[in-house]
Amino acid sequence: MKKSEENLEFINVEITYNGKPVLRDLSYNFCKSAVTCILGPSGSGKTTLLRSLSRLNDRIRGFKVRGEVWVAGEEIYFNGVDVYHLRRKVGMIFQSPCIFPASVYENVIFGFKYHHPERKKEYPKIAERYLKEAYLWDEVKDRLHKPAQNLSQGQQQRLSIARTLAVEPEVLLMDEPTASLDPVSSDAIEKLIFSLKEKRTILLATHNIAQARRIADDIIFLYDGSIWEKGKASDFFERPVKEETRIFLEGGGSSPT
Amino acid sequence: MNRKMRDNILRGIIYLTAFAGMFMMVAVLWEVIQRGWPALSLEFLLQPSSNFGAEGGLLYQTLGTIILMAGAVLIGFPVALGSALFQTEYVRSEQVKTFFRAIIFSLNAVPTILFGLAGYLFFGVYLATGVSWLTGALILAIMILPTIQASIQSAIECLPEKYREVGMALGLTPWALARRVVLPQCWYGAVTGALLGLARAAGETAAIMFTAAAFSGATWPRSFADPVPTLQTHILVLAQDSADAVSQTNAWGAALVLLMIVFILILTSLVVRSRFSMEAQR
Repeated sequence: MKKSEENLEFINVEITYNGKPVLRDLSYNFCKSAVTCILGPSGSGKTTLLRSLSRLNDRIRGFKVRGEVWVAGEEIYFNGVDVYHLRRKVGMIFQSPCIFPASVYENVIFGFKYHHPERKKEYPKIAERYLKEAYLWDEVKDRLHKPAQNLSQGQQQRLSIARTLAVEPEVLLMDEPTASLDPVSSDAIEKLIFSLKEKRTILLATHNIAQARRIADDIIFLYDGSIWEKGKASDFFERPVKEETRIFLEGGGSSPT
Repeated sequence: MNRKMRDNILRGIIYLTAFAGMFMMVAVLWEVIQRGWPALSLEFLLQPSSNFGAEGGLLYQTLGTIILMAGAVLIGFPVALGSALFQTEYVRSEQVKTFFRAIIFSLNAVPTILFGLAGYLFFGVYLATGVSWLTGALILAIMILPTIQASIQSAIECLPEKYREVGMALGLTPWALARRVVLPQCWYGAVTGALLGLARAAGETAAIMFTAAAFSGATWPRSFADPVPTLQTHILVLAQDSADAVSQTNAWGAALVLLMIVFILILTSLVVRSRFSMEAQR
């Protein structure tokens, strides 16, 4: 079976860790060039869902994926898939920013440099372009060659995003990217997400309902390892179908009991 | 017995053990310095020895020791680095890791005379290379392998997993991860490991006695098959010649030179470790 180049889809996926299911009955076709928020209490499997799309759990023993996971026309858990190529197409932003102990410049071009050692002349342009795209350029243009660790947390997170964008992913996975940031930086990142979705498919895991309301086009509500509700963001927030969803929304993101 | 008293007694024992260790160290150092100092002079350091070492200086012995040390590290370092990376970056099974670690640490526990004998039998007798500095360097390389490897490995294991995850998420292969993410942040461990390995090789006598060292007459090695004189074996020979006062003083002098080489290496490794590990953890 061949899928379209832009397809991003789970078909009957079950993910187990040491035999225990983390996610089950997962079927979903993600919208292109939109922000899909994965909402759910902690422990509901949001992170696992995101990580499974770029096979980041490969190193962890005991993880098993059954069913079909399709990314850009490829079944990615099929033998013979080039996982390194896959990860270029599917970028991941982690919960807390992780910056290499090097300059701002070296950090932005880190991934690009590895994938394109022959395009050395373009590095400065690439750095500028993606720092601008991450709305960080104005703040760092005079300190490009200073250690990136001196940046604030919010700036570091935008730097991580710029570094990932420079590898030119088609899909961007963001795992609670604002969870460790102050409100001002969170705002900046939300704006950034808004501008990024024009060209990329964005999946954002969060338990921040207000944030999901602000930026989501589509919503998946994950609860206890499976999808309880899904749909357009407006419908989801106006007319939640299930009791658990309602409790979660009213409780402000805490776990329904 | 109340708690306070027990606490005081335990504290006393801990202090005592610490001072016992310190005292031994200082006593040995003091003895070597006191007895070796009179022998030290520029000529002693820069002249070749004569009359089977009883007269003259230490030039070739010092050079020989340095050649063996450098050779050992040049051979041992890449192997240790590869083995450390293999265990931290490639092997995922905990059992295999434990197995490898056990082997490497057992290597560390083998008495050095066994390395000497095995080396002598394999190279000297079986391969008939005779006594040569290259053989000695090889044997020392095997001997210091665990020291270097443990140092590199502990530095790598201190690196938070998040850096690897970021590298992986950017599409790096395991080798690229090791080279671009892990090593740039762990090289202080590699440097300290290499220096500690050097220091260990410098002090080693038993392993090179039959395999690499010439007891007198040798100067520069002119080929791979030549033996070299070394400080360690020089001390051994002079010390056996206990009747002669000049040989005695020269033996102490040689011991002092050897100690100084080891000390400089260890001090450097401490500086490197504290400075760069701080930088890496910032």
